[in-house]
Amino acid sequence: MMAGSDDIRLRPRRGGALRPAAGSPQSRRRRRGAADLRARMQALAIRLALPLLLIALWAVAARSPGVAPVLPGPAAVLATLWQMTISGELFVHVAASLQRAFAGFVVAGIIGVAAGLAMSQSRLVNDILAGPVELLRPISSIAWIPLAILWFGIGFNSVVFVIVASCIFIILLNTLAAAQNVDRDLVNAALTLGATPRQIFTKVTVPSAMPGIMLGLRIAMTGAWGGVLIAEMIATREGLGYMIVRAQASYRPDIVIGGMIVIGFVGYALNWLFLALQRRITHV
Amino acid sequence: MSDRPNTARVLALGALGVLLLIVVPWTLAVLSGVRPIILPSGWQLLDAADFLMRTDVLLHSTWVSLVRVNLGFLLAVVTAVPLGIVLGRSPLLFAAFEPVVESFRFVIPFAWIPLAILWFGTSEFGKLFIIWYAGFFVLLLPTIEAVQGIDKDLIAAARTLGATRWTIFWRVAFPAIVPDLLLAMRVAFAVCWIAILAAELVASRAGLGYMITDARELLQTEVVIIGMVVIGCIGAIYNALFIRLQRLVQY
Amino acid sequence: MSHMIEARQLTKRYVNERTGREVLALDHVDFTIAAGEFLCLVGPSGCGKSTFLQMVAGLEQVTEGTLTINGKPIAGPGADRGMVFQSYALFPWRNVIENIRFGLEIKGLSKAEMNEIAHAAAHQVGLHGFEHAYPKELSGGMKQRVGIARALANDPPVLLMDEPFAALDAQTREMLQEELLSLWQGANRTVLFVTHSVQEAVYLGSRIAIMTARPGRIKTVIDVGLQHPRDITAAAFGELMKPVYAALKEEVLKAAVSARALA
Repeated sequence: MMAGSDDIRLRPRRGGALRPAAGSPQSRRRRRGAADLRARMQALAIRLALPLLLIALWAVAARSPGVAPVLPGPAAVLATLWQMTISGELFVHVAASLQRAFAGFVVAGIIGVAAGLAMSQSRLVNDILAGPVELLRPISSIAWIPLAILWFGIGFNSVVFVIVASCIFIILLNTLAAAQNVDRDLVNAALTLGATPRQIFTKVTVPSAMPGIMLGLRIAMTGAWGGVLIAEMIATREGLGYMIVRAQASYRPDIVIGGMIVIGFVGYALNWLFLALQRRITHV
Repeated sequence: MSDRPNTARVLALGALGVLLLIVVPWTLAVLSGVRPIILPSGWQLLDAADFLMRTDVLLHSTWVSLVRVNLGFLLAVVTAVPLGIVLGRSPLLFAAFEPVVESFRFVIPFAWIPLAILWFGTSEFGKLFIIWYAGFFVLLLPTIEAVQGIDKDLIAAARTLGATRWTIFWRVAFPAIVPDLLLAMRVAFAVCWIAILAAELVASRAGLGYMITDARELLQTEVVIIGMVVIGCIGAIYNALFIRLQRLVQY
Repeated sequence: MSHMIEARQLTKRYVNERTGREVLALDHVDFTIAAGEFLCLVGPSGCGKSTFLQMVAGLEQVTEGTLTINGKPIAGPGADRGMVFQSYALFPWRNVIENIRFGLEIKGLSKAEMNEIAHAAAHQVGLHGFEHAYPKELSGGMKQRVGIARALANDPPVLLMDEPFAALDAQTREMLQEELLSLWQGANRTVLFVTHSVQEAVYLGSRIAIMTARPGRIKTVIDVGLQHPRDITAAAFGELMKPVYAALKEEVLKAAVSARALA
């Protein structure tokens, strides 16, 4: 299967030197344009083949008697999603989840970036904070859920606490690494241009660490989105996590699968938005 | 950065940090009369640990979780790595699989838990599925990237030295991606460990995740905290093991 | 001619972080650089020529002896000594003009003043039309033009250059060498230029100082009597390169022998 497969190319080789030139440059360009179009259609077909096949398999499987009760077909799932969209129910859950994820993310972001920068600037702060960080970091965010419920009860605060626990260390450690690994020559250049230590921090260290900080925030955002879902499954009465767990309990696989699609879509959208934001901010 | 790290100083200050930020606030809270449901005292923790050891609840829960996570992780490795190598080598197959991989990547593992319950009940199969799913994508993408990133000159050099395809794979390509694979496996195991706890929290009658959520319902905060410590230790031990392995293959 | 930079019994020792061994980088160096001269410093790699430059920049501490600029000891880096790096050291998050403006922001100039000076400096080094490009969009040669403009915008009396053209291709290097000369001839500026290329040193320098293998000392100083522009294909140019080559080769061999002895 592997042999020779790397010889297949999705785009035709450009400008084949050995082929004899035929016709005017213009007609040649048109022909190459047509070939390009064909290649592009071919590439599209290749990209679409597997997803379409999977959806078809899903539709067929949903009709077979043994599976049907736990696997509604694509059409049924879409219909349910549409109904929940119209009734506004879906919106309530999505909004609740987003709100919590955002709140936890912002809290973790502020604490994590501030602590990471402080640790990068001072040996003492670094060594003192390193102890608690290394002690608490391995405890996975999930393990905090029962304690969060004991401390804050069922609801918003518990969920936000779990999200903070699930993303703060990623943000902190990425910030710290980025702020510690500033190119020595950049610092030297700023020094020879007359910058003070404080100016080095604001004009060199922070902007230079920005891509690393943004990377940490983006990974943490995925963590926050996961954290909100699992916390909602246990510690709330609304949100997407709660929605699919309740649907499972009341035997509504269409809502469960619909919810999963929405979860994936929102995760994708968040990632896309963040990347767009990152490109605007960093230029690197 | 310039002076060499002083291990004794680092350890002392780290301990001081733990003391200042964790032990002292905890002790103050206990002394000021916070209910044990919120924060138990150190003695209560020791009592609970003693009880857990004698009744073998803790050992059994740990064993169950460990078996599940190791099986699921292995399953993820033996499926994701070969597929990743194939997809990394073939642009055609990569183009065909990419949209599917990209779509599923965003459906986070936790979202599968309710469906896994619907499909498999609370059986072991459902849990294995969640762990496998969690590890699979974390392993697949770095494997593909590692294979795509193999230095073409390295392959060309091997070819001019007369190596066959099979030799090139085992002697050149595979060693070249092993460091990336180990890094991916380290991350994947951490994700699998989170996933099994999540699955046990929502749908299980055994395992560490079940133990702490059950203890929460019974308001046994001591047991919850001990469970968290064990969970953290296991995560840290596996992390250290993978780092060891990574060091072994650093060229 | 007045002394701009003066080193007296200048010694530098540091501890190698990896091996933990103490290294004697510079050993009682006596040396002066006159105001307005273009001094090229050549030597085998690891001889301490970059260390010397960094000490003049104030980025490295003096271990023993004195190092003065205009008679005052160098205590730390300052805007009176501009520096150009081999790695360009451009701030990747700033575009060309913003990079050039960095030192002026530090000085606290008004926005109008900053822009005027920065644009003039950009124009001077041939960056016209690239003002809003980011470093990653520029070729190596263009990047180093930004590096030079950034140092010049501060109008420092001393320009320190640490193998600034070593990473460039031959054509670009020649072009920048010529441009650098015309920038130097226009203003009364002292240039300390570290290089490992004998031809570059003879082409650019008013004087060439050759350093010994580690521990670094000044082996000889050679006056280059040629007028600018210099013709690298002329016989006189070749004659001047010979003693520099000979002196350098001797030290390179010494460095290789001691490296083998250490290993």
